[in-house]
Amino acid sequence: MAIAAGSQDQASTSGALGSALIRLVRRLVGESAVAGITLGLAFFLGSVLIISTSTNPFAVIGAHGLRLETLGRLLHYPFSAFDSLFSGAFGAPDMTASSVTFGQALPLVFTGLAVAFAFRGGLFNIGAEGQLVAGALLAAMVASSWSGLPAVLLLPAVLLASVLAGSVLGAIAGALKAYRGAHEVITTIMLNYMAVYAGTALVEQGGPLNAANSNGQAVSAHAGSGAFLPLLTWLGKDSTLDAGVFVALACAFLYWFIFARTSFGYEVTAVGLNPGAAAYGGIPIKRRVVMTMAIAGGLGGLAGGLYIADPTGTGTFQAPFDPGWGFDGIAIALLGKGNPIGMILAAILFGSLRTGSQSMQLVGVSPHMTEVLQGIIVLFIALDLIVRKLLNRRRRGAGGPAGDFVTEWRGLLVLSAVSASIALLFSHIFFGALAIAFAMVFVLIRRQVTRGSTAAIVYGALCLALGLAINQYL
Amino acid sequence: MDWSVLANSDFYAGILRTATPLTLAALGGVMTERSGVTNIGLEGLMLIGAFFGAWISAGAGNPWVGVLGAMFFGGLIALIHGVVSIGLRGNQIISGVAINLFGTGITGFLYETYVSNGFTNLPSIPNLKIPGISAIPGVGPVIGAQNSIVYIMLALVIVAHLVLFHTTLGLRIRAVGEQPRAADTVGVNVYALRYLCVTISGMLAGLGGAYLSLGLISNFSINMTSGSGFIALAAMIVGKWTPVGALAASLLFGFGLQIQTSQLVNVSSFASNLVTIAPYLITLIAVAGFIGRATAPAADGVPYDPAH
Repeated sequence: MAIAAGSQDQASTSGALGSALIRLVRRLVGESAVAGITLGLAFFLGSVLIISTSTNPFAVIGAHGLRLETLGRLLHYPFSAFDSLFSGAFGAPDMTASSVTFGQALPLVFTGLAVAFAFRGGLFNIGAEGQLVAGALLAAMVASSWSGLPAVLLLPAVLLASVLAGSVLGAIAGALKAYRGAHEVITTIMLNYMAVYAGTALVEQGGPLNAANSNGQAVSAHAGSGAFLPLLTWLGKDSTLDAGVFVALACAFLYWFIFARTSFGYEVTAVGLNPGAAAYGGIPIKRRVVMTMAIAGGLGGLAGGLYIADPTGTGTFQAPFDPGWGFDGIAIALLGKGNPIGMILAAILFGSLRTGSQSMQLVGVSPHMTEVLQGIIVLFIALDLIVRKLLNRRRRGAGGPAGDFVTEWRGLLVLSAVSASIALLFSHIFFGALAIAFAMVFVLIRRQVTRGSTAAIVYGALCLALGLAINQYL
Repeated sequence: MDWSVLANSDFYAGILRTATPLTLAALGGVMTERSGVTNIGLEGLMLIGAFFGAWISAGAGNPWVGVLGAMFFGGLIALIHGVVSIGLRGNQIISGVAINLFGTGITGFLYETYVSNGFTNLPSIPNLKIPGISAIPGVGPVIGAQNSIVYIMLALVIVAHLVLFHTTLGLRIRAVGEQPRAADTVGVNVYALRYLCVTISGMLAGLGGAYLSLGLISNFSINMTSGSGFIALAAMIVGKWTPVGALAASLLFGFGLQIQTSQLVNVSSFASNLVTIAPYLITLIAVAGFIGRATAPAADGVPYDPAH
């Protein structure tokens, strides 16, 4: 409502195309501002933790006095940790590290979609972990028992098997919710553990799926040669990325298409927003709930299927298989705000946290730091509404869409501050420039230079200069 | 299958030991959910208790100091969950997920930063020999000479039962969890009671974790709870949100886990491995209402907003 009202104001002062563009920019900036503040706070708290565990900050301040150089000395610890984190994730110029990062992000896109799809239907799918384990299990079973089939038949069969297994698990939770009133959070948590332990029992020695040549290992039989996805070798000779990327993009597109263009997606959303009204409108709620969870489960299962079909993987189900992708999926769906592009970006961020975490050990910071960061990120996501309310406090009282807040000069200041802080953190000219760019966007929207935009530009430039100065000290 | 071990009293002592951390965390779950705040972060809170219990004990040289530290930090992190879900009315499920992630992360981070070589000379919580009972053959090893925390757990179950169902405070806690508006109208402080119960849940989960690292296993390893917090959540549900029920369900789950870990059923290992899914399957059946419906308190997970 608030956005619509805002855009009408805007339409009176500028052309139709211009106003549409401004609306889009406003929404994008507003949404990424909330995500940016969340990430900024998480990295800030992470930095505090790294400083206080790497050195005694009070002793450093005591020894060197309250000077800019002292700040540089302290910030050196988190800077080098996050620097090695991200250079570990994206560093090598030949795509080696990046392809690992994107490979790590791949299953997270599916688990993120699995959580987000259920969210649209008003359901909290904590079960992506179990769904992907079930998916991987059935995929491994199909891949090994029909290993003689040609790739044209076997690969689709493997992927379909994973979708099927995941949807069955999702549908169980959906049906228990729809027909027995069992809360899906509890049932999906229970199904997670059942899937993980059943998988272990099945592939362990004595279990029916244990490989004949397992030598006591809890592992399933090897997949047939036709079960693997092709490697994207054209990305570089050391690239480990496979064609699963296209499956992920297709699923993300399908997700968008279902909710933006189909009546089924509309019905799922309606059930999620107001089940009573949806029932009154003739939507079969119970069947939609089961269907929603089945599709969500299928998406989660596909993450497991792609794990088995990964040409750089082992092609087997090795117990205990509990990679934690399903739990990351919750954070990704929330951070990406259920938007497919947002979720892909969030998945890449979490993938880089996973890939880069080991590199932090080089500068003496435990890789578990990334889990701390994830925990803080998710905690702030739980407070999402509060962040929005704070941002919009001076506009129409309550927490409307985040798009509104950028029309306030304070909003731009916050954005500039966030980018400028990132500029400080990484001593990167790019982010400092971004801080100034946000202020420019503000000038563009308001079509006038105001006190706020000037302040934002000056602040951004100052932070940029400070960042470069600190960089000199390091 | 070799069931002769079922005649061995060590087996039953093992069940009680396995059930102790589960019961403590489940008891915490009962307290917080009875007051209307869900807490799926029990796993993370237990892990925090396990780590800080061990870390502080190793520093202080006294296990009880560690136990108090574990309860303090468990309560502190639970209080954060409380601030998010009560005061700021954030999403309680998401906050619980965050507590779990944070618990895994911070304990792993601190362990690798400060205790990289593992704990040495970790003091463990002493066993308590009850004179008379410990001498009775068969029964003695089970309830006569257990770890002190086991008795504390049994006492806490009784205390929690009495407080929840036989005191004014308990009535108020349950009222706040069922009908916060009605409770508020008659002058009960909804927020204060919810904060109290969430903090207690963290302290109990922390105590359960400390028992893992200082009593049951006497060491800390990264992610050592490995799902105990979720089994505790299951025990709380199967026990229908009552302290005694939580104990009974934990004993049931402890029995299942004991069958598995004591390798009694080594004839067919597939069957014994499959037993691990029993607690979760039982919970699934219980919440689906197939064996006596398990219904959560009416206002469980619903933030209370006096303005609406």
